[in-house]
Amino acid sequence: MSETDIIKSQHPGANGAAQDVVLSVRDMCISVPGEDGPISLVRNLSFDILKGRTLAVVGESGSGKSVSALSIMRLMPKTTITTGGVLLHGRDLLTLKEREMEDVRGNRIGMIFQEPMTSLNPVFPIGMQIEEVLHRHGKGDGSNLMQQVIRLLDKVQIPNAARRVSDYPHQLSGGQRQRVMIAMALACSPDLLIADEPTTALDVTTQANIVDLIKQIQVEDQTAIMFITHDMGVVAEVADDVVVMRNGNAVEKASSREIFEAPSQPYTQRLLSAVPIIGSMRNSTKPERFALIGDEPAAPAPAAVAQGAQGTVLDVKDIAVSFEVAAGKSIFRKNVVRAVKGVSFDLKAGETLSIVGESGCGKTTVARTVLGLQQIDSGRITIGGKSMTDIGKQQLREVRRNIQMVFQDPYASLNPRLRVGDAIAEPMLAHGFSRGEALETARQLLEEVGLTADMVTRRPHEFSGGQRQRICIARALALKPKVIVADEAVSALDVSVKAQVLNLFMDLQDRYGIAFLFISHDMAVVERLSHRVAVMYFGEIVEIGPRSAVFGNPAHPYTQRLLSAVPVPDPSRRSHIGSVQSEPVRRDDLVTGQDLTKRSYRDLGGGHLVLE
Amino acid sequence: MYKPIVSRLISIVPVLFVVSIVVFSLLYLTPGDPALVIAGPNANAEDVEKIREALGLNESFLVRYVSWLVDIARLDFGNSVMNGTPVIDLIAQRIEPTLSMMFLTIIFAVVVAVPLGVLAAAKVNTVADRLVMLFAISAFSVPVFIIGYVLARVFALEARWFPVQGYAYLADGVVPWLRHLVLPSVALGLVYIALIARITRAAMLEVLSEDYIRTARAKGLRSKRILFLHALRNASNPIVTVIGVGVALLIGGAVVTESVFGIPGLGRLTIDAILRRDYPVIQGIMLLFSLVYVLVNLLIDIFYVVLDPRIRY
Amino acid sequence: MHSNRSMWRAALRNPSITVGGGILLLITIVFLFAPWLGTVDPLTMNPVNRTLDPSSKHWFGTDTYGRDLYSRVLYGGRISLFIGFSVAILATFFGLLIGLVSGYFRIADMIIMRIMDGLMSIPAVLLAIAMTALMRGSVLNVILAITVSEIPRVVRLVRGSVLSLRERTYVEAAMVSGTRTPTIIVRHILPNTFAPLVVQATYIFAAAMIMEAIMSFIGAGTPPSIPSWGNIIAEGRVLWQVKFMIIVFPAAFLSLAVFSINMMGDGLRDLLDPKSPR
Repeated sequence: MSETDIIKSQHPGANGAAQDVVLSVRDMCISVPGEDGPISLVRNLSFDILKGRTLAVVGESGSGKSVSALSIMRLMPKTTITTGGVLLHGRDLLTLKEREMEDVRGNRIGMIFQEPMTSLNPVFPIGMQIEEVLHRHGKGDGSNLMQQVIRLLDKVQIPNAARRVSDYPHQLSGGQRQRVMIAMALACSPDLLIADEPTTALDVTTQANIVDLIKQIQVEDQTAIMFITHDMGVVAEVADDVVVMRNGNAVEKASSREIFEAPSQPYTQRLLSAVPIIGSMRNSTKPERFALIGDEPAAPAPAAVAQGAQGTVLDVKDIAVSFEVAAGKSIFRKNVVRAVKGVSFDLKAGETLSIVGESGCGKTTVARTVLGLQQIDSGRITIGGKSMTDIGKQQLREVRRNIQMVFQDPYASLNPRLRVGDAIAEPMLAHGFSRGEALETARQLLEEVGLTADMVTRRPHEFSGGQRQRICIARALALKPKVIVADEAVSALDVSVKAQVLNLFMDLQDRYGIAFLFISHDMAVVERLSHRVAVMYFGEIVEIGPRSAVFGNPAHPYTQRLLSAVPVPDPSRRSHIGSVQSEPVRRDDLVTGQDLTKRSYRDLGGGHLVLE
Repeated sequence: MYKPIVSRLISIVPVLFVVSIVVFSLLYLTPGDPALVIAGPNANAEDVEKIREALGLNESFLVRYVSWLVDIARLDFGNSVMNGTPVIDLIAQRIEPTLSMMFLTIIFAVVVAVPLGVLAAAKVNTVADRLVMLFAISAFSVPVFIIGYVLARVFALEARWFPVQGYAYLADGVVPWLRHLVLPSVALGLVYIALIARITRAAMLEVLSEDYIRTARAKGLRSKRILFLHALRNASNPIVTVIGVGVALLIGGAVVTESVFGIPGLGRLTIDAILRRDYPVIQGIMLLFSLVYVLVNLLIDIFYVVLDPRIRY
Repeated sequence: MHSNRSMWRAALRNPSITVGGGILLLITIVFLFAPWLGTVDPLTMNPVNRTLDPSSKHWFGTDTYGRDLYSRVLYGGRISLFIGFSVAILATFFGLLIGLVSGYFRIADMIIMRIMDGLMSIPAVLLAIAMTALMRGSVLNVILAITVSEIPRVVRLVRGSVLSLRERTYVEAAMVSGTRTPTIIVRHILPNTFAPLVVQATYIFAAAMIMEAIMSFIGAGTPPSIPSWGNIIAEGRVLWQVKFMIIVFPAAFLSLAVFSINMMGDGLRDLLDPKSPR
């Protein structure tokens, strides 16, 4: 009883009546055993979640936010030590026996996870997977259960619910799977829903739909929600209250409005300063660096004029790429997926062209194509005035040294066995530099990207993700290329690191006049650093033009939808429930062998083209 | 649904082709002249030449291979060099004990090994897990005939629970048949159990770290259901595969086990043929066992296609 | 990835490696120094001393020909270990070569993998004994026969890791930077196939010793004039119901040696290749 009193005293005011506190976390400390004693993951975390309200727990990787959620559910490995109190309606979950806790999970607390693709059991129908929660917690019996399952699927807006119950997870899209997960988590009408990065793995339009659904359900059921995310835009969209975490500590606790309008802690301020806000560049035509608070005093670029910002360095004309996939009844007939069709663009020295689009739209295929990692069916690619398409192997190597790449995953792009210096030297050695020369250049390049020259002898595992990406950039710079292709090069990085690496890109462009082909799904990032933007949808460029024109006057309906779906880190600009259009249907004509009728672009002036 | 099955059926063709080439080459490369052996010590050069002619030994490799294949297709595996009995008859006489023993071994091993592997995975890094792993390494390290002799000594010679040697045909009653096969099947099965238990443990450990297992736990499901329904069902692919691949191990082990327990099966036939250099018999047995192996694995593949919803079209 | 020194330290902390490796080292030393460890000529027959029980003169007793079993077991261990070691080296080497070719050239891959599938469908014991039945039974031929039956497994392993390594981003990065294929193989592919290969080699070492014993037992192994654990057991088996000791000593040594190697293999796998199936 006394603990409830404490909570009561801490929550005066309209929404703070004691009976409304669903979950109360008191001084929670989490540690795991390590080689040299226990490793502390979370320290003295306390917060309350009230009925019908959403608490967002926000932080970068390693902040302890997911660990906290899993510890509330007691889903961490058995060796984990959790102390403090986790009170669900006043009952301490940490002191329950495992079998009692099993009665709480899925029943009083529902949970959804980041990866909808892997969170459902692939070998059972979705209906059965929802049904077993109901059955386990004694919510009805027999045929009645299936009726409830269908009602739940209706509630999460799965069309034709009655027919989908026998579907297997692989037959559903990512967004639909996340809806099934939500149905499962809500099956027993829990008091609390824990959503651990539920939208991170989803495309931006799908993400908006899922956020929308969660908000809608909360209004209907008055469920308390703990929403874990790293995305300030999503926080602004869903949260009533916010806990900002860093390195296992709660840095700041406040209402959503306070966090965004008047963050009191330096870390929160810095986090917010690193978030690109879509629409904030309306009055500018050029890219703009992030003005970062604190952290490294980002080596101010000598902002020289980009050297000769004219001259086309990369010219892509009408390329098409298709893949064969095994499908259909005959083993001899293969279906052809047309991944990219009729894509044309050019890239000038010192310019950044971004290709944006959602997963599966063909943007990565385009990137791989210009690097020669993927064969094209037809079309022409010219780099620095030399064609790449019909020349010999030796010449191709020479042409290709003008175009280099930075990959998405900084952990996979470096051979763990090679020293950093050798990794950076590799392109130079391949093009006839002496080893000494190459290593000397590697030292210079490391300084160039904001690291130190003495790091050449270290191995990749000694570096963080952001540092590794800097090393990859140094490697890409080694041959002094005219073009660098960056395929989702900052997507895997934390917000503040992301901003630093983006600044580095812009600095390098200023200094050397390098052209960037920037592949991304993140509209806000693209707005920040692009001169021009191309929007891809199902293998085609549907709109291309100067960044200010495409973002300011989006002409294609898909571009408009994409832009409207981006969450804005500003609670006052929150979108209303139901304002986002539903998920696009899958276009089956992609998987046919038939040729689509050739379509043409309408010119809106100033190089702004839109597909008709 | 049919497509993957058909493609697997087609995929065994090149395998069988390679097997037939290897087996045929063994005959082709046989040292010594079979015609001389058949003609006997008293034949003159002309007789030998006639026999060579009759056997087609003067033809090229290709011609001989094709005619051999045709014979095989007609189930003519040639005759034993020793006593002239058709190889197919020899095999038919000896096949029951061997198949009985292998069948019992597979059943026994799977029933023991899978729960053992699941247990080890569920209790990873505990004493139970360590014991299972220790048992697995030990079973891999002791040759099957040693296990056979030790079992025979302890449970047959000394305890007298089971017959020491020999075999009772199924037609003469199930109980004597079983009594004769218990020790051989256990001896043969230990390695197989070790193999399946290790793979089960590994597959379960991998599956248990999957997101959907975390989901199942977050749903409040009981751990028995999570282990045996959600996890084992997903771990079944490598387990079923190793049961099939392990059949090769069983076949090798069967040859030795039959010798230890005096079972008149194909294994004994193999050893006799090897000692007498009776190549047609060796060939016939190799072909038969390879075919058994290929078919068992084909069945397992098809079985799996039918079971896995993701391979359905 | 650890540096070399921390790798050694991790190896020494791994009980499977230290225990397994320790036993193996001890056994190897004993066999190398067999002539100075109170042995007599393992081939000298003495019909008067047939099937003696262990005594101070004959520590392990004598076999059916009156030969000293202790000496035979020690000298036999040399042959068994030599066969196991040779097969491990040869099968790994040729498997690596073939696997690399298979993983890098699509047309060769088609043919090679069909041959490997075919070879794997013939149970290894049968293939090996059929081969030695063709050739004269010598130690070299036994090694060759076991090697051939072990190669397909190595090829599969190497090919599999080459195919997955080729998809690694850092290999693509090397391709983009213009690095030539041979350099990529040497710098990026080979070193990363090494760990699972070392593990596999230890397992083959152990499996080959078992296989040698089985072949000798069947009568298709090393010639009787050369003692190996396999044929010491094979010769003793006729008397297994009365003189079990003749089997027990060589069998115990064989099992202990194989056990220590398998144990080391498990330890190495945990250390070098933690993600592989165990």
